[in-house]
Amino acid sequence: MPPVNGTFCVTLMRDRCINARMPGKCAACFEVCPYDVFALDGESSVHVQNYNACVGCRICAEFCPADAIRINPAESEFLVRSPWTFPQVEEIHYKAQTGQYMLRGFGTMGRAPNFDDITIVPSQIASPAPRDKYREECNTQVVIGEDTCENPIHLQYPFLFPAMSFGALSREARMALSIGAAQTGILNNTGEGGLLKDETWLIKGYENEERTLKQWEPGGYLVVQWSTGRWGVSADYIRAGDGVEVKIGQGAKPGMGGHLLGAKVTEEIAAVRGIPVGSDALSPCRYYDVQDLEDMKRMVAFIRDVTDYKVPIFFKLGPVVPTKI
Amino acid sequence: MPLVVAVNGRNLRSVSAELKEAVAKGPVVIQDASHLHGLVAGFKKGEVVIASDCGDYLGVLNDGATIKVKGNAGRYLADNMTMGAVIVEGDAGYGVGQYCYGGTIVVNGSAGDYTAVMNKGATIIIKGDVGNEVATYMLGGDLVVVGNAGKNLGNYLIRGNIYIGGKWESLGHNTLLAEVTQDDLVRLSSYMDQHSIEADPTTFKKIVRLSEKPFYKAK
Repeated sequence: MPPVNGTFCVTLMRDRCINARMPGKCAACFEVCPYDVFALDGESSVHVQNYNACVGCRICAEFCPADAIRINPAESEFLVRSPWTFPQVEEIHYKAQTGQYMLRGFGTMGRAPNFDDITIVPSQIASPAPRDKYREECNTQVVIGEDTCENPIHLQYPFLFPAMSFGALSREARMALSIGAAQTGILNNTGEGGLLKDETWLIKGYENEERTLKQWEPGGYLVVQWSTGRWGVSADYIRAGDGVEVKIGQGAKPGMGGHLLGAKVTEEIAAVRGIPVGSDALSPCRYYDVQDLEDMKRMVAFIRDVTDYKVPIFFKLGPVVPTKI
Repeated sequence: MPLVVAVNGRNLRSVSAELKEAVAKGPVVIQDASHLHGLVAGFKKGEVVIASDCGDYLGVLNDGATIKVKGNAGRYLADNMTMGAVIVEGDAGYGVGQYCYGGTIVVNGSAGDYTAVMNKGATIIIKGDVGNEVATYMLGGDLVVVGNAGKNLGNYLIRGNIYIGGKWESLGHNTLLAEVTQDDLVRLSSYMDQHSIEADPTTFKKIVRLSEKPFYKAK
């Protein structure tokens, strides 16, 4: 499928263009364009063959000896008709015609806030106010499980990495999240893809399994997720974390379970999840082994028992209003 | 002489702590424990006999222990087991052997609905009947039902085998009645010898999956 960006308008001003007056005399734009926006026909005449492939690098405009090319941004479809942007619609057509899923990285297009955007406002009622905001240190520590377990979690900041499974993410991405959590003293979550062993030492700031090389201070916490598919779940898995998260729902697929298609299930992912290479991992929407609230309480009780009452047990709820996605 | 753990109406935390210590020393017997749910959870070894009925989630996350129940078992028997054996002399409730990766479960009586759901590799043997929605989305292992099954047996079965000696009310989506091969007969006979099952393996039917990817058109 040819590239579809649909974000730029490509204009050739034929009154200036050398090729328009004398085909074969100049084809600079065709020669320099890295994205095949231009094409030459049989008579060496230049024309725009795929303006949708233009990424706005403007190399053609710079190299045009007659300054005959204008690259202007098209009206942003993300503003005008999100989510039905041209690339999105083309992708849907492709899927409908071929019956194939598009496997690609999705990334994030939202702007994440940073500490320039965040103001910490002192509490005045829920807890004692500071004496003076200039002369008292601001401590962003959050303690989880102080009253309920032997080893509570002490986050340095009130942030955590949400669950994104090994399988949804690559090994490198999982490792990076654990290193990031170790560097900042926050929490990472395995998600429902099972445990990638390296994360158990990376999360504590160690570069190696023997834990002789501590590279990242202060070290973070790894929470293991107990979810609806139970991929890679065993007693050892439950005990490997600094906490256990009982997942009831997720925002990524509201009302549904996580789906990992077979095309993404590599040898390593298959081994960690305990399923064959290339097979789908389709989690159900809810637990087959919980039918009411009492069952849920018993489930938490046995998770506590298996972890010897040492670690905090979390709940993850994902109720979502579908129109807000 | 097995060690006796007296429950005396205590809660799970208290009884479990004592059980964990006791199994390290040798076989353990416990009874009057049907109010305890999630007993013998995540044990890597040991032998525990429950000389009465038991509650729900017995042997959840079992990773190597041998657990025997003299009476009836509650619901969710051997939930998410990875290794070991759980044997029930009486009946078992809803949801036997869900999410298991390995190990063996034997129920001498009958089992309830949703038995063996998402079983990924355990051997689950029910000498009596089973209920409805059994082996839904099963992903591996063997389910042997000597008696009859209810509705929607093997719904969206993906991997693994269902061997059934009796009748079923209905079959689920993506199932296929397959030929019982010589290998199947050898395996079935060995299950029958191991667990004293009085049945003729040649009368059993075998149900397997129809398609590996029944939800979408794969490449």
